[in-house]
Amino acid sequence: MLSIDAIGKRFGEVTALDGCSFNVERGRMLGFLGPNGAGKTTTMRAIFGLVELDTGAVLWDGRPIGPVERLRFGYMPEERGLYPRMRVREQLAYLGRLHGLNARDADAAASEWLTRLGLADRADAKVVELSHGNQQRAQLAAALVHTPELLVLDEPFAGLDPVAVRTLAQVLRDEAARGVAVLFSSHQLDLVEEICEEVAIIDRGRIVAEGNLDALRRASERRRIALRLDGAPPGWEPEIRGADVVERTNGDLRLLVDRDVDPQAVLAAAERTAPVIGFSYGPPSLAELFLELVER
Amino acid sequence: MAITSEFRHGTIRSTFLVTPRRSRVIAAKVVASLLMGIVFGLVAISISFGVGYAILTGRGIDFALDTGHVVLLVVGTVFMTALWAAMGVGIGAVVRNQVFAVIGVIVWALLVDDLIRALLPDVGRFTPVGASDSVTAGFADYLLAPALGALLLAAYALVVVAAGATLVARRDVT
Repeated sequence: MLSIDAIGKRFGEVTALDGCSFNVERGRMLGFLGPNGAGKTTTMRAIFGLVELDTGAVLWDGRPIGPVERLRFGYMPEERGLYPRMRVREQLAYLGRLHGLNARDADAAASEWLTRLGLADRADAKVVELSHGNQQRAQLAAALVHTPELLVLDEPFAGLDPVAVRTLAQVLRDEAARGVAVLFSSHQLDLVEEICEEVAIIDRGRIVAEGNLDALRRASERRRIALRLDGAPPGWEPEIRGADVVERTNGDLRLLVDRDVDPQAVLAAAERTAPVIGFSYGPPSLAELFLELVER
Repeated sequence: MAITSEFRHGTIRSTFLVTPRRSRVIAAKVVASLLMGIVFGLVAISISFGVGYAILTGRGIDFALDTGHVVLLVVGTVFMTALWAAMGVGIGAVVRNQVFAVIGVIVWALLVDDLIRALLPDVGRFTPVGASDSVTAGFADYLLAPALGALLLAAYALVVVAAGATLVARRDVT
């Protein structure tokens, strides 16, 4: 299990991490969320010893992480780092060997990942000759080629087309199913909601929510109401305390209401205005929860 | 470029992940650069000697350098290119930005150092380029003795590499 234990880091006057703590268990996939500059990348770099922490510790199975453990981890940094003039397959095999594979296993693993990530036909191309999306796939393969126990991916979905997103999401699910602890950051909250059971949300260097996503949504002080009205007057909104319209498109309204607001009261107010042809009530989405937590 | 290209392409992260002792990375790059510098120096001196000798012979001019000067020129050039290559690693480790590092060295060597040596000759013979000249150009009043120049150049390389290694060890990798 990866344990981020009360880590703190300052860059001059800026506090990047302020007692940040969370865990990622083997076989689990945790979405690491936060606004820009919240401390996600610094946390990930700290796992690999690339930034020196002022306080706290990063542990693997309860022990401090050293060079030997790090060789068993896979890391996909936000700013990619591959040798531009080296051929893709050769580079992956080389990185595999640096992580302890023998030459034959490294070659086999490189070929396997290139095939799995749809890069087999570009295996002998130089990295610099690949498109942005394919470079990203190659970088992902570099993180996976040595069969890591922990996978840390910084914005792995950024800039990928929908097909590549689906492939990557499946790879992450498969890796978690294999027993790998998977930690990844993303701003694509719909996607995170779809593939993750657990999230950690960081804001200004502190974890503001962590745990099972459904439990976090249910624990929210807000509830989501979706209304579809047939011919509601423009600008209509229920005059109920604690109910806010957050989105309005044609006859569809999305409201966030305080948890103690009676949904029947909202429904009754809507029915007095226009025929209601759709109504749903439930916990907020991850995106709504995220905004609720980081805008506080 | 032995190290600035790593910063430029982000491969420095992989390098430090598989070799967390950063001083070891710098030491390896210094050794590799010293060897590259030696090869570069040998190639450069071979070409310049060959071309120069051919031109002189073609024009019927006697080759005036004695054996001592030739040995100094060959050994001094190889020594100088090797140490400048090592210094490049140190400078790159300090500056990190490839463009700034390369331009900075060129501006120093071709402008600042030249100005110092032209305007303040007593100081100028102690500059890196002044020390380099002394190990290649030989015995001249305005230069240090070759052995002293070699020691000074080695000291410059040592200081720059040590500064680079220290900063690389202390800095966070972004």
